[in-house]
Amino acid sequence: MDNKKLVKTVAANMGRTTADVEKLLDALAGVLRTRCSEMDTVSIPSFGMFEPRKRNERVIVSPGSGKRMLVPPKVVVGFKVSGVLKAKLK
Amino acid sequence: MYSKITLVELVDLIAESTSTSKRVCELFVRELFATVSQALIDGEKVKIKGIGTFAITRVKSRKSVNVAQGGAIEIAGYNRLTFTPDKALAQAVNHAFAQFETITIDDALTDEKLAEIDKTYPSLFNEEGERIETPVEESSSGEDQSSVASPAEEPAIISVEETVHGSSEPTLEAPSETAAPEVTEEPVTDQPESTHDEVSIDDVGLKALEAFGVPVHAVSPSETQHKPMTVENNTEPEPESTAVTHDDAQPAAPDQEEPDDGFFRPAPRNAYTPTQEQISRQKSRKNLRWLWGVLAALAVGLVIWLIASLGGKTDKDGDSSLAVASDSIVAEAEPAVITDTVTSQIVLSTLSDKYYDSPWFWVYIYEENKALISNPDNVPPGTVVVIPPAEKYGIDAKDPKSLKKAQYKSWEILKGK
Repeated sequence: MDNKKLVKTVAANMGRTTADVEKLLDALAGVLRTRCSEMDTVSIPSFGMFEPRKRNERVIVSPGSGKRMLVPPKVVVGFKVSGVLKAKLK
Repeated sequence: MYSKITLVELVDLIAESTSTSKRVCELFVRELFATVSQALIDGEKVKIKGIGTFAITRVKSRKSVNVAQGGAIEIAGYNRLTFTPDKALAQAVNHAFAQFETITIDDALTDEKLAEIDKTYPSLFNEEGERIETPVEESSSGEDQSSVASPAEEPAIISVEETVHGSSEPTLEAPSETAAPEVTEEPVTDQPESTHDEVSIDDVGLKALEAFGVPVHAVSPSETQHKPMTVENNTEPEPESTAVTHDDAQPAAPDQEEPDDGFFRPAPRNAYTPTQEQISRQKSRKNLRWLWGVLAALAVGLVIWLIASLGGKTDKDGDSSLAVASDSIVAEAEPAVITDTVTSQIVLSTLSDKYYDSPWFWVYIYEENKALISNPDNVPPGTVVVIPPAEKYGIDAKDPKSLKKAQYKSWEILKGK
């Protein structure tokens, strides 16, 4: 399901226009972006939790050249599925 | 910082930024994630703009050992929900470390080398760890000193920097630099001694041989025996040139002797000349030799062309026989061709896992269907791909070598993409 279809479906279920839903979706993405950038966790009941996690720097060996490389640390957005959804997916 | 945002807070924030009622916002959030959940339960992949992609991957059931009792147990397979953040989201979250890049570690950089680098820069701290306060005038004079003293030291720093970015080249660079001049010098010193024609013949002859090398060797071994000689010996090319210019059709061998004398005559003269003979004569002879060289080169080219054209004919015959052979192979192999369809759920690695028991061998499916697939990471659903037989690429999931090869290949493909 791509973004367009998702917006359409949600708009139909809510009885609102797709433009409204798109605006709300943009706002949601914006909130997620700013909060996760501040290392806050955003949890959505019965769906899951978006949590930024720090990955430490590490040394890898490039499979092609066989040389060792230092990968810098980074922060990634992780997603932890809620128990409810996990049970349904099984 | 490190706080947990609940649904209520999330709804508040959305309502604030869109100036919509909280009730609508809450309904939207619930409805959105309910829809996403339902799509995921149906096995669909869901992409949300600005957030990311949710997808289901099947984790196979696997055998394990019960640690307590020691018996073999089977861990049931399940569907795992994976989330790939949107590029914008990932970048925004990683803003703190955005300036870093992956760097190659120089294994040749030892502590001693690092200490040397340290010496080139004055320490900012004394032994007790206190910052050394340097007066402004001194620092300026220090800069001057460093600029004066640096020439010897700077290269060291540069080489270290290079190694950090690239590889452990410094040791390799030195020999290659010395080797290059040698190579270039040799022909230069050869030219005056052994006359121009040798060089020119060598060049042209070698190039021509390179161009037609295979057919020449394949077709007429007797003639090719002469060929290498003409290239190596500076005495023979000239005779050939005259032979060919006088009579193209005749083989080179019998005529060679006659012009041989012509070439040998100047050679002894050359031995007497340097002091006795006049420079003008030398010049004229040099011109003559040059002319000889050009003629010889042309002759060699012509002979090679003749041989190559002969060789081309027989080669074509060989090709056709090969083509027939390969046709028969294809005909034999045709009934066993396996094809499968890529869908939104089944990608190349899934197919590889299905047919070869390891997802790594997707590279060979990609290789086999290169014409159909532009991006192996994004194969359009509905694409029918040919699954090559495992023997064709030496695919064996149990062989670590075969796995490693596939992994290296996939690394190369994804790097070149």
